[in-house]
Amino acid sequence: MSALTETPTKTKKNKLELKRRTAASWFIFGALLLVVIIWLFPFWMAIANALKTKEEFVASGPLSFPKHPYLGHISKFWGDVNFSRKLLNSIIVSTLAPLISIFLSFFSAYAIGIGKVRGKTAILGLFMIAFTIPQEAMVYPLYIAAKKLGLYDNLLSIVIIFGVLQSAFGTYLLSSVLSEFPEEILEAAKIDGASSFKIMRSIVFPLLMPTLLVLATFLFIWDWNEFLIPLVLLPSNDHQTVALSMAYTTGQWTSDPTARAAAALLGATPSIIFFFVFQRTLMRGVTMGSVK
Amino acid sequence: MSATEIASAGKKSSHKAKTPDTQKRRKAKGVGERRGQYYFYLIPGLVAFITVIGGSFFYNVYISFTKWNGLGHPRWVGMQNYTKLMHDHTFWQSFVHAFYFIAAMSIIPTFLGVFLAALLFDYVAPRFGNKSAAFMRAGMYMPQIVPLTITGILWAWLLAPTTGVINNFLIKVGLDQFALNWLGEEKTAIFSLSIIMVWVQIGYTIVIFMSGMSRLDPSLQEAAQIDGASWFQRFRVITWAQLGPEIGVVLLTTTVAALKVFAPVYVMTGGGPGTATQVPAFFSYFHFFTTTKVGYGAAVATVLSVLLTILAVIILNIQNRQEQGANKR
Amino acid sequence: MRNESTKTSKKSSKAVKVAALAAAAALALAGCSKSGGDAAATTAAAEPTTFKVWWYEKDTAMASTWADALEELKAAHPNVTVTFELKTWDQIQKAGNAILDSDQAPDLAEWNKGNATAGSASQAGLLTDLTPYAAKYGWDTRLPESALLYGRYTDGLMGKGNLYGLSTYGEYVSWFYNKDYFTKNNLTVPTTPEELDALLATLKSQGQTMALGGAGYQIVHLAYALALTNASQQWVSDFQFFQNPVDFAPTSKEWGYAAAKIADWKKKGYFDSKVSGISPDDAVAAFEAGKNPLILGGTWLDDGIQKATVGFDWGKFQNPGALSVGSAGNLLVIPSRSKAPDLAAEFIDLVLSTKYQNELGNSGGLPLLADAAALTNPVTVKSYSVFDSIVKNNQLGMYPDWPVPGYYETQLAAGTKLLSDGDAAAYLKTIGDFYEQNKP
Repeated sequence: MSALTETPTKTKKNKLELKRRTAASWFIFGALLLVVIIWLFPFWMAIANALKTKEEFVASGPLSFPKHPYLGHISKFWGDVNFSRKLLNSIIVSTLAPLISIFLSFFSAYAIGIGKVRGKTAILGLFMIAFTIPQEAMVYPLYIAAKKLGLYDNLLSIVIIFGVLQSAFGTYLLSSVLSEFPEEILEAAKIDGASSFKIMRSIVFPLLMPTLLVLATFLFIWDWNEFLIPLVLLPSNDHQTVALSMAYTTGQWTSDPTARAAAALLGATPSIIFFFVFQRTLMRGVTMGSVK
Repeated sequence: MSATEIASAGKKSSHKAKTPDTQKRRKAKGVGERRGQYYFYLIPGLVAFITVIGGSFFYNVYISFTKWNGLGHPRWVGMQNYTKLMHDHTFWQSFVHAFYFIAAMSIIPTFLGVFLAALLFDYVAPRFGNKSAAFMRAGMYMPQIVPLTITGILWAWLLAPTTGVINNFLIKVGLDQFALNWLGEEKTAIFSLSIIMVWVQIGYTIVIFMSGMSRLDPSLQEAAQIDGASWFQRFRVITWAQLGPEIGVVLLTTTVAALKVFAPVYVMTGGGPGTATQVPAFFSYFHFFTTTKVGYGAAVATVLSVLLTILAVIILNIQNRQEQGANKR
Repeated sequence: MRNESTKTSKKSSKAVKVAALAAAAALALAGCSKSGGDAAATTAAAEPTTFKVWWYEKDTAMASTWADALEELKAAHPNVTVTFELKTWDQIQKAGNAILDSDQAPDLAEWNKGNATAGSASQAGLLTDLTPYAAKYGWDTRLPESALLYGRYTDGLMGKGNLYGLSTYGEYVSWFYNKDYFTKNNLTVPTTPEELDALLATLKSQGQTMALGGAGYQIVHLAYALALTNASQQWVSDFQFFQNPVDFAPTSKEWGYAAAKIADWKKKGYFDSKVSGISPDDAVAAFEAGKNPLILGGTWLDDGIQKATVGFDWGKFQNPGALSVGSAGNLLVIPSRSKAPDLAAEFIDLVLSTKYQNELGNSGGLPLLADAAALTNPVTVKSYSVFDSIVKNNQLGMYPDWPVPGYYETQLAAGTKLLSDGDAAAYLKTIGDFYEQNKP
């Protein structure tokens, strides 16, 4: 448990006393900074050109920063694709699907990690298949099933599918966390005569909360970024997600380069904002349950 | 990023999930007698998983033995789709291209990632502070967070041969001969996509490796330093060697992700020019929904699933063996 | 992406042209402009409460005209909630049947023509047979068979049989040229393939090339335009309707000629050196900005080019050769799952009325049943002069991707490759094999 919540900060002292900076170390620092700048350059260019008028783009090319930032492309693109609606759809999917994932994986993980049921390795192996099977190998049957059940072109189908699909990851993660759950606490509760359900609800669940929140943050992003299955199952404009709507933009709303930059910028912005807000959680999460 | 990290995290935890085995030996007694009731908790997860994922997968396998255009009823044709697949040049080519993506998403980011993580972790941080290192890490992680469709739109725009930022920049600084037709030529298209995927992936590997380094015992580094080992020597002998488990995780997860690549190809090249950027996932999609040879598309997807599963098992086994070897030592 | 549909074609506004289209020329004309009409008002027996409409026209004459017609429909049926959704051509091409085969099917939709799309949908019973409506509203007499055939399918193959969709406009592919540049440099419009070659050579010597979006639909159209240079209408029927085998050998005068020509032009530098990476949008923008004096494009570009082109005058000329790429326009269809088929038919008839056909023409589109005298839009007039001759000479050669599903994507990928490596033989093998393997 503690393993999960601890931040992988570096060891010791660095903060207190820094090593001496030599010319060579400044050089390496500069080189790395350059790498970071190159890495961020595409985003910078999207910003610079999204805020340019078409005339200014033609006159001064893509590299300069606009003299007078122009919001016309962004607001036009927003209105044309009804971006508010796409945002809402993405938020619905990325909020509800993780709830399902967490519910399912918490139960499974409780059996595996706390209950230590026989055959848990095999069960985990089964869930492992969710990582190796490509979505292409599921998408057509899902598409048929969605139509049969009247869930085609319905966000609910996406919520259910990703709720289940991502629960495999959640099961892995939570099982590994719960397998290290302090035995003394469980024993104490049992001696008090608590049922396994009561232990789950009033002891394990609250203590696992921080981990569940990290998990939810990650699932939020993954569900936000999903592409193939929504592409197949959500044909209506009104049901498309942000990631999906972008695949349809080229040539439809964006016939000139500045408008295309605006589309890319607008599509990327929610993710980037999310990243800044949850950066710490994310960095912790990427490495959560990582190899010890 | 999704696939990668899901898988990565999964692998990571699966690795961990082995630890319960050892723990069980120690602790099983306490819980043993009432273990049976816990099976009950598995029901929701397993039922959902088997219905949605298992059901879809096996139905897809069934479709792969039929001829079907998606309307009416599938007609059973046995192995016909698979036989055709074996002789389909484009199918084999798509796997060759997958190796470019394995290089771009797995091998290169792993090597570069370890190196950059080490620089950030035990070179930059000790000299310029944790904040500087964290800032740089965040900067390089940014591409991971954005949906791949948007990454595709962004890069197709950057790489446009005449209006694009990249070529305009190259021409401006006098490097006209490097202002290539990035996505328009067979030779450069797969290369361009690969570079983009390196850009996407490197943040993931850096974050994993930096966290791995934080678990290493600093005294080793310090001892080596006292012995006069250079930074690079320490990197090679200590850091690299000790990061074995993380490297295994990263290689597994990113290789699986590389074989599944779909969105960038869909958005940027549609598999072209010719078949220069055709990959298995896109090839399968093309037959499902464009040529509507659903059975054939299902066969491609099935083959890909089997290969991915075998590959994952192999990588896991190699890694386990190495770890066991290391433990004995 | 909608542009990619280029395939749509249209009959020209003038009845005359339409008639010409059909081999059976004269018939249609007279009837056309007159009768049709503003049959907007209909009886409201058991009126549906909702009406869901899809199309993928955007910034075209069709888009604005249909929107106006939809307003009139709304006004005539105040109790019906009309919902409209803008789709993309790509979406219909890739997932069209899937949508039709679901509860989400619209009540009326613009649909892609051809065996791959409308054909397979009709075969699967996803489209309403419009024959009774055609009789009721007289569409089958007002429109010439040459315009109706794109909506007729038998066993999923276009050309004859029940009527599953209706074209309400026309379109074709031709060259746009920068008139000012031509005048300044003493260039003349080519009338033979040889003159076209000479023109391109001259442009090259002046440091100019044609604009071409080699990474998108424009290369598919260029290749087919060249294939039609030496093609007969019989060859078109062979290729589109599988009447006889089609030759894809390098020696063939249709596809073989096209592939060799493109390879040759590439070698001689008649394209931008990076042509295979340029998007159609960028190519059109380059023409509009006066950077390239020539571009091959469809009538769906008329309106945009007219609006965006400033600082020079532009004109159009037909691609020299036997036939031109073009046909009647995209279909309006009524899905079998439509809950308001009568209302949908009423809308189709509204679109075919003289009022809206004239409006279409005056917004820069190519109507089928307009009153020629009422057309004043300069763009339409420009387009007409070319369409007139195409139609009169029965030169419409349809679009190259109709025969089999996935052919568009295959031709695009192969065409982009041809522009990048100049390998004509490989191109012909790719598109020939795909055709042979997938034809019925």
